[in-house]
Amino acid sequence: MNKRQFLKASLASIGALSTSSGLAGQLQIVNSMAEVNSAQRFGDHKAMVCIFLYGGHDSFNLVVPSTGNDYQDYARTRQSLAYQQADLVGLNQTDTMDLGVHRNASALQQLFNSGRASIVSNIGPMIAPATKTELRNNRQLTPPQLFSHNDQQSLWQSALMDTNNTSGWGGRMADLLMDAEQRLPLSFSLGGTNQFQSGRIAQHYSMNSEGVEQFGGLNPTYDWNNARIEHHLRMVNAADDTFSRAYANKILDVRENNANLSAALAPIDATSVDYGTNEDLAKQLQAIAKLIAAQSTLGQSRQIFFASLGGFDTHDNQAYLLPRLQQTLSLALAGFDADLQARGLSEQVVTFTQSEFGRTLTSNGDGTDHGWAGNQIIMGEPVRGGRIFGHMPAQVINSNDDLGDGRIIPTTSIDQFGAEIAQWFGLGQSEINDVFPNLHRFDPAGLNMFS
Amino acid sequence: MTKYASLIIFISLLSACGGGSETGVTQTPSTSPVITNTQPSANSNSNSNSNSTTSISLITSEPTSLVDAARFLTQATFGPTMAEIEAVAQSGLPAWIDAQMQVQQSAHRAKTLAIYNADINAQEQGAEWPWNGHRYGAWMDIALHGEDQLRQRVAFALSQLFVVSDKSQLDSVHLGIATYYDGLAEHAFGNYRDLLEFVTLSPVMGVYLNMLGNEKPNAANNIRPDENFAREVMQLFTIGLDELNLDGTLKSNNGEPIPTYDIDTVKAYAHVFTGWNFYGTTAANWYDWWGNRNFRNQMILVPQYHAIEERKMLLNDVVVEPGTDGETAMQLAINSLFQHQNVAPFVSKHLIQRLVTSNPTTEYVGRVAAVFENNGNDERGDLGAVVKALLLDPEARNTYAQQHIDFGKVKEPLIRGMQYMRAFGVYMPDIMQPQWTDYQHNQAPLASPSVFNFYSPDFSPVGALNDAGLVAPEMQIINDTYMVRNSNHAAWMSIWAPSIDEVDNGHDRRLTLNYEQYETVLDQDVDAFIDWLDIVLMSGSMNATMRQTLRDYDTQLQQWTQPKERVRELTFMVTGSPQFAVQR
Repeated sequence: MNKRQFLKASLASIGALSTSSGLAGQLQIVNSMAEVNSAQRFGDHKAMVCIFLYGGHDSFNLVVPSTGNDYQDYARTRQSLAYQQADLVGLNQTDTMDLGVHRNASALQQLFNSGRASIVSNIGPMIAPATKTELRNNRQLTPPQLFSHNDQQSLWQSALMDTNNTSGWGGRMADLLMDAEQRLPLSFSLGGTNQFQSGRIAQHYSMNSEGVEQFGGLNPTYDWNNARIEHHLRMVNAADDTFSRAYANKILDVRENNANLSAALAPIDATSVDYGTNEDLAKQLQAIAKLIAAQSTLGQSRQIFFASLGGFDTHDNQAYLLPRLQQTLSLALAGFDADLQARGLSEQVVTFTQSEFGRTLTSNGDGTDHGWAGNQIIMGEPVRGGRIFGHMPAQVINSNDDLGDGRIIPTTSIDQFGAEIAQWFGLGQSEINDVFPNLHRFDPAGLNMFS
Repeated sequence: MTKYASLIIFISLLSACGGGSETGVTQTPSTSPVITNTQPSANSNSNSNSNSTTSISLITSEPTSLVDAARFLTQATFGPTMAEIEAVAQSGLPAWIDAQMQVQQSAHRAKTLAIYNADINAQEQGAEWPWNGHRYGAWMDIALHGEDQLRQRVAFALSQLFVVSDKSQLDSVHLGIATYYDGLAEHAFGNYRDLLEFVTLSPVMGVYLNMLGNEKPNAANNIRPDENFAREVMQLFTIGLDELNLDGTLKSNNGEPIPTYDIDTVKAYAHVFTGWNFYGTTAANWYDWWGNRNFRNQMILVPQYHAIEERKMLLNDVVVEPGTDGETAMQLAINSLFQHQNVAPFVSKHLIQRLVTSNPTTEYVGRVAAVFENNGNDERGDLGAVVKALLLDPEARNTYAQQHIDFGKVKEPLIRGMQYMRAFGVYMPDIMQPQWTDYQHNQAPLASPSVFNFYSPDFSPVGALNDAGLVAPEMQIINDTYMVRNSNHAAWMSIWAPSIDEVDNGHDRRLTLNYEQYETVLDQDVDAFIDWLDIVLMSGSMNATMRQTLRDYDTQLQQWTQPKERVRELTFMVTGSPQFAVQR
């Protein structure tokens, strides 16, 4: 289906795009898409990078109260899983209580203190703003399948409070921005197939950090394969049932995209920056930096990237595991930031984390269980750095922020967070409303993450 | 001439060549003298046994077509061989299933150990215990050569329901994981309740989802029981998130789905599943994880660590009263899950999706779920009966002409890889080498990224399938990278695999496919070879354009290559095709 066909078909099928928009909203979507040919309306280049922390990051143990009674509250609540005060390094900020991160994450501290990164606090999937009392009295205010990994991943990636939806907020932006004539998607994933980058029509190109995977027996760059490729393509085009036809279309996409992407990446140098870590996330981000550097060859004025880091489901052994995960994340972020600066791209890129949920402030002995709200990192020159955006809850249980066992109720929604990123990305207000149909339920004052 | 007339000629020629006598581990097509007598037309739906769901064991077994037999074996094994297709066409499907259920079970643990012990490289590197490659190699050896194909295929499906993964704190526990896999295979035709108890008390699952070492609460220190196993055993292993009808559709209340449990339910089960640890653990050495390590025996209860004081409200109105001992509480919890109305459709649909089709009709799910609820002898949870029912169901057995347009599935890439190897017969003069199937296929046994398996059962790729409202779970791991790697693996195994002579003369790849036996025959009759590819690899679904393309390619190939290369090139045309990536 190309974009024009999609527009024609939209009125019939677009109800699936969002559960809440009525016919008027659906018309608005089609109209806004018809107005915009592609990202070619932009004279500049911008890229957003989503790093998904799979498993549910105990991010109230990323940014922690560091002094006085606030630290004592934290230590009393967290018991054996509290970071020692001596292990904390401070964040220079005046937005809320004194905060620090584990010294393993000192690279993140430096990004924060040098104004290159900020924290969005107490964010999570929300139907609408709701207090603890309201949540207890009205089940309709609770997002579906709260505390379930895959469902909360879906809510975070879609920003629609409907676990049956298959599109993501990055993908829906790409629907609006993609060039209908281009087979190559503007979205690239180094972190696997994901919902975030899936649109109604927009796809994502999924690759490994080693680069574009090359065909062997079907490699088009060697002419001795010509006869084989010619007959292979005849076979591909002979696919005549539902599933093999879908598979065949994917083969054709991959063949064309691989060739174009390989050519565009060939002249791009490997990073000149030492990330200080050779772990997979750092490799993913190094590959993303190269794809950003290739944007002019690819003719993409807007790009959406996805990377991932797993292992955050710390039901056990958290005291050992979490500081190491946070170190991996921090070093990769700092390396990526330095890489972009060295390539002269740092004004064009915003990087942020997502994770399906925060975790319980209470422990199960040596780990934590599934919670709700958490903290996320946003990084990049366009972002107002060194800030804590949103409400930072005290780390005590049975507070008004606590739904129970230290499962913290979010006060900032994904819609608010994503809408500001979309605005920076260059989407108009009606487009933003299309991507985030529930945005109107939340405080229009927003977070003001961008300068 | 009927469609597969030349195939019969081909099989006769093949037999005359005496192919496949090199080694005991080589599987080769064999000739059945009765094949010409039992060949119904390719598209006939000859089995008349699919109207009953409550008397599965009484089904008579009648001969069926080669196409039906090939389709069936694609669903029920790691890939058909010509010999097996002929045998099944003759015996009929029910008889084959019954026979398979009696075949001796292969052993993953023993095979893993044998491959590890034979691996000089691992010894030189000082490996203290088997690596993942040894376990994957064992899995592959059993998939390729195991006689218990149906049991192992079902076990692989179960390993994607009761997921543990070596991408976790189990990353060096490969013998333990292999033991767990053997346990899944052992219960593959047994009762689901026994399987659930086996899984619950397995130390491998105990470590993976943290039930092992889970303790009673300690309010003074804000410590409550670990919820991980309690949550996932409900969400992923038994009942799922929302209440289901028997046919797998959602029940609803004013248009809204009805959640099966809430956080309080999770906490109740979390309390039940406290006090379990490695076999041999006592209250005195509860925390000596390393010293107590034992991945061979099931976990045991250490009563001092069990939350005995709380009243636990479980599902299905089961209540564990205060003072109930931990063993009894565990049994009550397993029963409460096993008796839940969701289990039958939940488990049935999972097995149907793994073996037969991605988007089964609700009627199909309902028929199989009914067998789960009652196998005809008032037994609930008889997995053998469920497997038989789902394979013999009319929806599974419909001919291509009868199938709904949405029927079928993308093959699991790892199974696809096994299929073309089995089809030609594997030549392997020594014990299997370590294998890393995840590189080629993005899939290795019990090695998914998380307890959510390799893919979501609801995954629907953007494009035509999503537009049509269809799911294709396997496409979640066949992304741009693995689309290429799967193709390259097919090319390598087809075009570039060493010859048997090369392997015998020390080629560093100690495994290849037995192509030589087909060369003479191809040279005499290309159509016969194409028929063979069509039946064995594509279950007779090759359309006229594909067939003509193969003929045309062969015509070109004849100008510059020998039969040796032609066999391999034509094979790759099929193994690298989108049609072969799919089963219908």
